[in-house]
This record gives sequence, C-alpha cells and structure tokens, in this order.
Amino acid sequence: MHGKTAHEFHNHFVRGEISAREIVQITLDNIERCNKNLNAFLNIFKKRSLQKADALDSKRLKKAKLGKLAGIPIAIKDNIHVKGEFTTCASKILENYRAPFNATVTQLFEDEDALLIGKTNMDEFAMGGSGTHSAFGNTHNPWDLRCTPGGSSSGSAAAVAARLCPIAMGSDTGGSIRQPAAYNGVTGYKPTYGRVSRYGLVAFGSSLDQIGPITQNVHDSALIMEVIGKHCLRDSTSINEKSFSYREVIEKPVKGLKIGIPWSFLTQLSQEAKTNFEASVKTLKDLGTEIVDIDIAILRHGIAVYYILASAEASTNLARFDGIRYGKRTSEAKNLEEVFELSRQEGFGWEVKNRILLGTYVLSASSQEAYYIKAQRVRTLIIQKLNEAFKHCDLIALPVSPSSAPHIGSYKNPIDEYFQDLYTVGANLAGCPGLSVPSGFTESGLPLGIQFMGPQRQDARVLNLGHAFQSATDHLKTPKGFGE
Amino acid sequence: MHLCIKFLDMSENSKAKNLSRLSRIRLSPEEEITLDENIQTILNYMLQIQEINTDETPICTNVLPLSETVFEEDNVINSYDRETFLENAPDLVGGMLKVPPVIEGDA
Repeated sequence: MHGKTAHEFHNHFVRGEISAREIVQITLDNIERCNKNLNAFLNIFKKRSLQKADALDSKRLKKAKLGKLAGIPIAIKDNIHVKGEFTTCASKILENYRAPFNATVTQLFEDEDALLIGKTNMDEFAMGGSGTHSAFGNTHNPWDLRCTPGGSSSGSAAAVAARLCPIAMGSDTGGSIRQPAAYNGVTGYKPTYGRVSRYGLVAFGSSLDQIGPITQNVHDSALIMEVIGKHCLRDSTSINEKSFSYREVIEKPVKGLKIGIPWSFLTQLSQEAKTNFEASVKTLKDLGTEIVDIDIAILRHGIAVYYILASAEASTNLARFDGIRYGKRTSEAKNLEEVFELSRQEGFGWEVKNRILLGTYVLSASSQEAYYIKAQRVRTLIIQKLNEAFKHCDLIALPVSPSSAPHIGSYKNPIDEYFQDLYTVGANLAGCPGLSVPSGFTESGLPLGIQFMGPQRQDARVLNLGHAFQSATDHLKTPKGFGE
Repeated sequence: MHLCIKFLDMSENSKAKNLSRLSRIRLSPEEEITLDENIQTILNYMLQIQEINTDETPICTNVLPLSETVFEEDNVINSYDRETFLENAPDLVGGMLKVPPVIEGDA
C-alpha cells in the first residue's frame, strides 16, 4: 500500500482487498519509522485511529453505505480542531489545550469515514514559511533533510511527500499550503476565500486564511474538495454554494483556455526556477492552451501589503491567548496584568512576538493611516488589477516561489523568508483559488512547482488545468529513502 | 507623497517597551533589542506602499463581494457542553475561572 493515492486506498478498502485496521497499522508503522528524521507529526492518533478502523471494518462487513473517504488515512495540521485531541498550533501557549469540538472540516471527514491519523507540525500559529518556527522542533524536507520543507503547513507537506499518508490538510494565509507543496514535490490547493469553512481553524489572518488539501495529485485534491467545499452556517464568510462534482469537472479538456503569464513580474526567479517555468509554459502550449501576456505588476507590493494586514489581524486574533480561559498560564504572576504579560511572554515564540508587535504598531493611532489603511487601499487595487487581468485570460500561471527549498538556517534577515511568498500572497489578498503542482526538479534534486490561479469561485477550472498539466507531465516522484 | 516615518514616534526610552505594553507581552531586554531592529527593517520595507497612488481607491472591507449582510436564524439551540469547555481552564474554583485580584487592594 506504500505510496498509494487516496483513491487507491479507498478502492482497495471498499473492494475488501485490505482492512481499515491493516491500513492504519501500516500507516502508523511508517510514521514511526520516519518521523524521527522528519518531525512531520506532533501527535499520532494510535488508539483513536485503530478504534475508528475497527468500527469502519464492521460497517463494511454489515454492507452499510460507506463514505467517500472510507479507508483513507488523513493527517490534519495542528491548527485545525479535532475534538478531544491536542490542538497546539505548534506553540507552547497551547501545548496542553485539547479541542472541545470538531472543526467543520474534521466533522465532514468523520462523516465520510476518513481515518484521521494524527496532527502535523507547522510554523507556530501558521506564521512562517520554513517549518523552523515550531515550538516543538523543525520539520525537515524528505528530499534533503538539510533543507526546509517550507511552511507553514510544513509537516503536512513533508508527510505526503514521504508517503506517510496520501492526504494531509493545511491552511494557507499567504502561501502556506502552496509553497510547502512545491518545496516537497506534492500538490497543494488553496480554495477561493470562503469556499471551505474556517470554523475550528485557529485564526491567524481572518480575511486571508483558507483550509485546503495537500495530496499527491489533483485527482485527490478534487475528492477532498467535494467533501469540504460546502457552505457552513458557523462561518459567516462561507460562500453559499453547493459543492461541485470536482472529479468530473477536472477531466474536461483544457484546449482553448487562455492562460495569462505575468512575465514582467517574474524577474526574481533563480535561473533553475526560470528555466523550469519556461518549460512548464511549453507544456501548457502543448495542451492547446493560448498563452497571453498580462500585467499584474502591482503584486510587486504584495508582500508589503500582506505583512501589514496579516500582522494586524494576527495581533487581534492572538489577543485571546491571555492565560485566563485556556492555554498556558504563567506561575509567576503577582497580579492580573502579569498573568497576561508573562503567559504570553513564556508561551509565544520569537516570530509570533515579532508579528504581534508589528501588527500592534501598524494599528496604533499614529501609524494606522500610513500603514494599515494604506495597505487596505492597495489591497483594493490588487483585486481590481487581477479582475482586469482575468478579462484577458481564464487563469493565470506563475511560479510558486522564487527558488527551490533553501537550507535550514540560511535566511539572513526577516525579509528573506517573507520574500518566498512573493508569488503566493496575491491569491490570498484577492481571495482567489490557487493550486501548486509539481513541475520538475533542480539539478541537485529539489522539487519545483507551478501555480495556477483563477478568478474567485473558479475552483473547478483551476483544478481542471492542474489535472491536465499533471497528466501531461511525470513529476510525481518519491524521495530516496522513503520508498517501499 | 513619500513619507519618512520614524519607527514609533514615541520617546527614546520606550520604543519596543511601548509596543510590548500595548501587546501585553513582557519582552526580555535581549528581545527588545533584536525585535526593535527586526521590526525597523520590516517597516522600512513596507514603506514602499507609500509610492502607490490610492487617492481614488476605497478601503477593502471585504474580499468577497457580498450583496447582503449574513444573518443567522434567531433560534435557541443546545450549545456545547459547558464542562467540556472548562476542561481547558488553567485554574477553576467552583466552576468559575480563578484569577489574581483585578483591583489593587482586593483580598
């Protein structure tokens, strides 16, 4: 069963060729073998997953109707609530916090008989792009353990790349699904803002966050979207539309689609990333699409806008972690003020403090007009420019990040790490769907990815192009040392 | 219009301290220094948005163009179990959250 896709797991299980218990046991054995090198998992559901597997095996024996995800082991990023399990957000401030309820996506998975296998490591509170900002140790890239797996959905991407599970859920605020997917040679999807419920996702940037799947291939992403791409009454930003039959739609031919390429924006690529992207564009042409040049140069300012707005929203969202109702409370406080100040001092890591202070500053009375309000106006401009671009093309193609995964510890200043988000933040700022699929490898064997972005609500079309690209190429590989 | 903005138009003695007070995070002296430098670097980078003309551009209030406010039905429903939520409380007394005195001089 090693390296099987989600569909393969499901089909083998439904046909009775393998039991759910066997599936879970194989998965747990793999994770135990590999996790000490990767640190992809923070919490493994040994007892829970075997209990669920036994219940599912009984259900199959009774010939009861099985869910769409029956027999599929799925890992969940540790900022998404799974009832009764730790939800730490990779932070000491939530080290002992147990989720009192299921996130909507978790409940949807359970309703479809998924085998939830554990919680994955991440950058603390989803703040980071390297997998090195976790309070519980770095995650490593299975393609080269000296390299970062990207972030913030670092553990999820590493787990799927190492074939520990076929699906792992992530969250994406500025690229945190797509970038680690590209760095790990797997597929990562950020839906349209509002397509997937954020209920039960610990908020980082509420106007930017979206939950999405990291999978081996787009076919599996489409399966997950059929399950989770639904309206949620508990999320007031949830789009009120029925789910699509994504797996049918992705099989449509893409000949004749107009693909916009913002060539003037792509000046920051490494040479290998540039060569790889040009080869990918040739593949798109060979598929019968029409390539058009578009201008979205305003996205040069995307990182500045993103980090102002995301930090501002984070400073507000993380104000709830004050040591009072849940989470870490300091034992050193002599008064109430010190409960807040010392609990947060002891509980938050460096990058989280950095962003909270930054967010506090841009929201402060003397700075708000110049930073926060200004960034909100530029965000409107970005949305307008993208809408204009989409009048000339159906979808946009661009790289996922300027280069392949760097070595852990190689970032010299804070802007270096933020710069990796250059090509991903636009989709979050404009609420657009974005898909990262593997597009090849560097000479040293590190994966690269191509990104497809669509207008808001055109999730099916984005997945369609990604599936067509993936079917025309052969970049889905397993890293050495993680094969059978 | 190019603005030259100093990091925190606050007194020399209270830069990062002031932010840490507003954020309710008590930074160590070492953190005050490194975060000060870090934040200055980032804020200088962010100043680039001042070059962009937004005179006629409204603020983005919602990334999804909503045609109407989203309301929820005003029904009484069973909420989650209170005890489950209190399980995460750091310190409980008789089902209430225990905290240090709010007002100085309280017993």
